[in-house]
Amino acid sequence: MSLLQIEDLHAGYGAADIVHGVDLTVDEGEVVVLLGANGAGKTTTMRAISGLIARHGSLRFDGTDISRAAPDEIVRLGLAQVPQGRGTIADLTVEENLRAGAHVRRDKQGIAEDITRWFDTYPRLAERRKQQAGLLSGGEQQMLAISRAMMSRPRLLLCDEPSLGLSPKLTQEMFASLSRINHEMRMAILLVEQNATLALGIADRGYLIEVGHVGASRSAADLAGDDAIRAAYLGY
Amino acid sequence: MDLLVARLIDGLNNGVIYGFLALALVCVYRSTKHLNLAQGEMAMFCAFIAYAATQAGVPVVFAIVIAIAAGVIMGGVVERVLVRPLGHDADYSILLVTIGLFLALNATAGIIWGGEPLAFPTVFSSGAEDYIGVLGSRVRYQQLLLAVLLAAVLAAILALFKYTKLGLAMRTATSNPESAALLGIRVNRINALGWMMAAAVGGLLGPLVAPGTTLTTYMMFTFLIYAAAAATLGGFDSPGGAVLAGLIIGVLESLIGGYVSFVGSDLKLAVALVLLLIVLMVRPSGLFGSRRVERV
Repeated sequence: MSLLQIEDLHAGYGAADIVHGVDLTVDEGEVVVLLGANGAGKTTTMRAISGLIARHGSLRFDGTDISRAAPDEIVRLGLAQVPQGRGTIADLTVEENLRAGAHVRRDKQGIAEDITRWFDTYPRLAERRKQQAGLLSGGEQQMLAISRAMMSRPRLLLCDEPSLGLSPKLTQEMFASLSRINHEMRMAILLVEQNATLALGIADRGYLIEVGHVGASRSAADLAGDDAIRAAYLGY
Repeated sequence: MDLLVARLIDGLNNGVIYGFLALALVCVYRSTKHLNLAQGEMAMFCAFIAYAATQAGVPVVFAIVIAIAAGVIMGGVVERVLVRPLGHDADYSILLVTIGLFLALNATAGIIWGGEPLAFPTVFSSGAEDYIGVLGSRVRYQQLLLAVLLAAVLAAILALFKYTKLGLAMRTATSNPESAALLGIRVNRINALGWMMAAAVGGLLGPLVAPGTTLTTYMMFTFLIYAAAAATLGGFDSPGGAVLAGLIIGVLESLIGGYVSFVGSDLKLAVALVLLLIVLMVRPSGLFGSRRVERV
């Protein structure tokens, strides 16, 4: 059984569904990428999985039905999301952002250890621990967003466009970092990304979503080798 | 000199009340980003509930505790029934709802307890000799109590925000509700809690002010205007700023009303508001409010 199993997901804002009929699965320890053009429904799918918007269809996380669960319940089950635009809690300091990330946990010792761990992973954040998070650069905010989501000790990390607004160099660092999290912690990651080359570089499998509909799962290598996808999303 | 001290103390006494009510406004604002125009009326209603309790033979201190409890319930119910269903982006609708609540509470109190001013007992005895002399001026025990309680409530709220997990969750929910939800924070509950805290502060304030103003349905009218001014001046998201601004406004109003003859007592509210306007032209987020600076 897959960690995350979605069948026939419909979701949208208000009257019109943007996503109609998405099926996808993510297994333990796997990196899965969701590719697609602007407006295809990638972010809508992510927001529907986390319970931020109305949705229907079959959504199961580790066997538990989450199709009616509220966002906070879904986090408690072990599914964390780095939202598009990074979701920085601008008025809190960097360290407070991480503490807020551990909201669902009660183990003080473990929380303190994890904060140290993420400060070790991203030393730039440690340097700015007392600074207001809203003042960080885009790259630093993205590091903070990933660390904050990881502070809940999730079993599946959803990442919505981590490269948004970052320089190519920073984007590469970000993907290297996600890949390390996947390898070192065996963290399952579902990634939405416009930068298909880099995303497929760290992914095991991928899906292509087109106007609210998702195709069959394919291996990352297969997707990267597909001429149509190369032309549309890889740009060479 | 004596007159100056008297005016300062007079101003501070009023300023404490403005600051108290401003603190309640800030609690609501920090939870749901709304201005609760019925905050004063909720406090007034709590004072009437305390009055009903004293009439039933409950000692004053316990009557005030009952008023606070009534405030907590009222705040929770208002948030759940009138505010939450309107959604997050219904700013003007909610402003109108609070005006409606203002009128409803006012009318209900009038129907139950009538329009005549009622006497409300003080916590400490308040005979002719019950005061502390300060440079020839008198500070009543009740006024002192109000000031001490304001300091205590402010300290408690600041400590809650700064040192507790709940406070961190509240600040997270205010700063970025969607991120808060994605971190497992129950944003709705946090919002309700903000309204309950605010109403509890009002529930404490109402019965303590009532002996001075007498207990009437309109006892909080002007206080609310000054409190809104104080919260604006101090910065709507800063509890300490709101209290300090309340004191500043109280003192300025008293001094200007006393020393500038054409202002007198008739125009002092106008003067306070003009000062407010000038400050806000220079610092739109208030004296102590956080200006939102964000890099994206």
